[in-house]
Amino acid sequence: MALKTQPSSIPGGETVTAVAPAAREGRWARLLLIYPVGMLVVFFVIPLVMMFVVSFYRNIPGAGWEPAFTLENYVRAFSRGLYRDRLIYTLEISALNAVLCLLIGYPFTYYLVRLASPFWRKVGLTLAISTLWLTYVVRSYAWSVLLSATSGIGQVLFWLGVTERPTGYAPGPLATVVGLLYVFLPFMILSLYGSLKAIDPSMEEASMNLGARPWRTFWHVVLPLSLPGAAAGAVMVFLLTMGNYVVPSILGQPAQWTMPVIITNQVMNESNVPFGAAMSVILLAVLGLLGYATGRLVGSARVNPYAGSRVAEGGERR
Amino acid sequence: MGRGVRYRDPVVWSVRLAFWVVLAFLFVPLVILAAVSFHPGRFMTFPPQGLSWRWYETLFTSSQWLDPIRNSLLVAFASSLIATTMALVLALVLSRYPVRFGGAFRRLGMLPLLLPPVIMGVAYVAFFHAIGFSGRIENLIISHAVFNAPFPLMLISAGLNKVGKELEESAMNLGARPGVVLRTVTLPLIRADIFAGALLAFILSLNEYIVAFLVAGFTVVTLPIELFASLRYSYSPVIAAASVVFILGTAALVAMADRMAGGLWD
Amino acid sequence: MSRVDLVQVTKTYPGGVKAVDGVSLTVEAGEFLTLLGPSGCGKTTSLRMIAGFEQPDSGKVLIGGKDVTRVPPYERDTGMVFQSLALFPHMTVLDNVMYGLRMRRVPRPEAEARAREMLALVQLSGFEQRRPHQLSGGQRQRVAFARALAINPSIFLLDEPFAALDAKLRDELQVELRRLQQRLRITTVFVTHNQREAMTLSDRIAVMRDGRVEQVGTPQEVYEEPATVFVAGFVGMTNFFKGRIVSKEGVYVRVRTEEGYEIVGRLPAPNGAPPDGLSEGAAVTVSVRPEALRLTESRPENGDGAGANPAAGAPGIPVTVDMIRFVGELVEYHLFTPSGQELICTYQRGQAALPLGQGAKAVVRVEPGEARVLWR
Repeated sequence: MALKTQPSSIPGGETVTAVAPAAREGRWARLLLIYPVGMLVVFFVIPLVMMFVVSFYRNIPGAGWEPAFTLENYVRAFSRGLYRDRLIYTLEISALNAVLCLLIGYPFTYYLVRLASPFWRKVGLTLAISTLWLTYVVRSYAWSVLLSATSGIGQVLFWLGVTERPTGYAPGPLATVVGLLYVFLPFMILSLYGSLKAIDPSMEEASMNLGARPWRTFWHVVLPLSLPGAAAGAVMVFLLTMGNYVVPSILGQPAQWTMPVIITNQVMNESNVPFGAAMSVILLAVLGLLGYATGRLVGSARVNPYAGSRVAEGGERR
Repeated sequence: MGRGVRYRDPVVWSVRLAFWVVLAFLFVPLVILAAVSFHPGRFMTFPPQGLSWRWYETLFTSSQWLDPIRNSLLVAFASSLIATTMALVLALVLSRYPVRFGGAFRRLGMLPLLLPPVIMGVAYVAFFHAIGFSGRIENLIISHAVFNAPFPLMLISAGLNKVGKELEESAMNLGARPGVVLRTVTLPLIRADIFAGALLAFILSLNEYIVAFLVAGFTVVTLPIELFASLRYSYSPVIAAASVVFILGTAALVAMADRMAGGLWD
Repeated sequence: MSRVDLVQVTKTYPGGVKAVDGVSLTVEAGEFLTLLGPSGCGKTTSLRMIAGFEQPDSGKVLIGGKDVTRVPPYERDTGMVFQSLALFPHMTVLDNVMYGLRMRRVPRPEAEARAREMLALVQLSGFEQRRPHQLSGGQRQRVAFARALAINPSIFLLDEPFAALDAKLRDELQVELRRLQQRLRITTVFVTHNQREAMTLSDRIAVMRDGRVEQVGTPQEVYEEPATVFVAGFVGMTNFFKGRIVSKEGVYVRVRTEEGYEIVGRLPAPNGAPPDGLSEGAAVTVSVRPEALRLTESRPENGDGAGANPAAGAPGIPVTVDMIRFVGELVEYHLFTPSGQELICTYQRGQAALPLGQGAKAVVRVEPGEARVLWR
């Protein structure tokens, strides 16, 4: 224990206080925080700030940019129909994907959660999630092959005699939708799994015992209780789809390109960083707004699924 | 307790069917890729023409592919190292000492999760160009490190919570000074989580496309970048072979990470 | 009000575990029967088979004489209270109780009236618009009762509903449940591992172990005439003596225990003997309830005391007092025999005759006619 001495109010005397080792170590430890926080500030916060700043710069075609304060990038983004259309398309396809992932992921996850054996549940979940880590590039590529005229479904349909000659479906609108679904379905499953699992199975049994057939049990009991989780999952898929570059880029034609694709083209192909930055800021703002709004909606609708079940309580009131 | 009672109810049957259809949906594309990679011909015809390793041979002998593999591994390794050390310091200090802006720092650490990678990439382009250091491999390493740091942060924080203050306090009660407690009690207990976090950051970096492309795409080519470019400008089943290697490698790493962290799913 | 029959019901789980092994049971109409046993004995599985949530691998389930083995749970006429209560958190108390009626397409006004009636029956009038999370544990319990009974089922099923409650609340709710059941005269099957609960509530008890029914009888029968060693040990406390039959005297059997004492007891009534009778020298276990052991002072002149041959004179087992526990209405004496066997002897408070302290030496005798000789 270290001792700290200070002159005290009593003349000629000293006050001795003990400084606990925790405080000393703590100071040293807090110093260490400079490393992660510093990295985050310099290499995360500042780049974002720079992006915001650069969005007001003037672009010099083919030669970088010129520091300035101009709104021309934003004006261009809002006034040119092309970019407005791309933003709207991005919102639409993201919403569509969220709905599709929900419709398809929900029955899947529900069945998985109600499997009798914990082992198979784990296996099922692992399998469902297994493609999550794989780069979007490979997953999109797989579908471009599967939907191609030369190696995929096109060949099968031709061989079966359904089509006159092998047709490819990628890139195209169907491919984009399928690709986005494929890529984000595991997210939805993962998100739904937690909230569906939390619903006490005895509630379904109680409902059946009271005379409700499986469908009605689902409609009256399971669905209402799973709504918050489902909504949260849908919002997440929506936001993720909004920001996805690879899938529309590989599996979509220009008509299917979303904001991220446009932005990247501007930055890498046109070398117009300020404009790309401006569109990024707009995208970020839209995402932030939507995320906040839906977050509030989902949060308020939350129902505590444990209220009806037994929670061990001490000291019961009668 | 069995819940799988066989009701002869059409709703139950259709849900069961949907389950298997979705599973097939998730795996068939990957199987097709594998099929293409083993197909001797350049194009996959139906019915298939046989098996061949030739595309894998090409993959592992041509520098077109070996260089990106090397780059990817290098970037992944370095960035996961930085990401994990960042996460470790942040998690440890914040959970054991009261820090004035502790809550804010923790939120800051998790913030990259909320951002779409493409926007992050554009921000990096602006940043690195402004400070005059464009297109370097170091940029990529740092970008990946910072961007992926939330993942080891989550794992290590969860691990620390499980360890709990009581174990450390009882060690101190028995006479161990804080530094010793850290070394002999805390770190060994979260070792698995640290490893799993690093592995996770590694996997994410390996598989990341858009930030890598934006930050250093023309100078440092990683495997996803090479894959993407090949898709655009050529057609070769070597791409499929590379993809299969990617899939298997990632699967192995994820299995390892899952083993270590005892189940990653939140 | 219907009877329930389980006919040779078997259920095996994957892995070979026989949850229920050839169980045959009848619950008479209007009767309160408890399935009692330790964890894993098959009682909950049996209950769920009556409800329809488990399908037997073989055997039949009959409700009201009709074979319902293949009938799904939502078409059976049973009302069940689950261990976790399973109240629907997103519905009000009234909606919860009305649920079953609405599923049976009872018109809303009628359903509501009946639900209110049920809530009044369980003394929860005024709570209709509350939600489950706003209720106390006891109140939730009663909503669960009301909900299950609102549909007027022929069978009332309860799966360890009081397991997580504290003792006092548990006692109160047990009384209420019994009152409710008697008033409605509804056939009730109750599952618990708590033997006191079983004895308090039931008309009859079925004691189960390892998927089989060991004995069915009234609480008194099960307590006073246990059919097996397991039942004797599970229902209430008892003292066991292993030994061999020395002789038979009418309905009474003289047994010499392993320590050399002789105890006279009888086989449990009725039909406590194996089909071909018990021969001398057969290995048996004698069960003596603590209240059937009487403590007296050691009287050397009667041949009592350590080392004395108990076969001579008035037999008694010498003991040393190890601990005396005062448990409210009972006084428990924990005693050790010279060979180290622990015996428990209880007296009603105020009837404990001897001023014995720890370490005192005494002798216990078995009340005549109280010992039971069990061969399995």
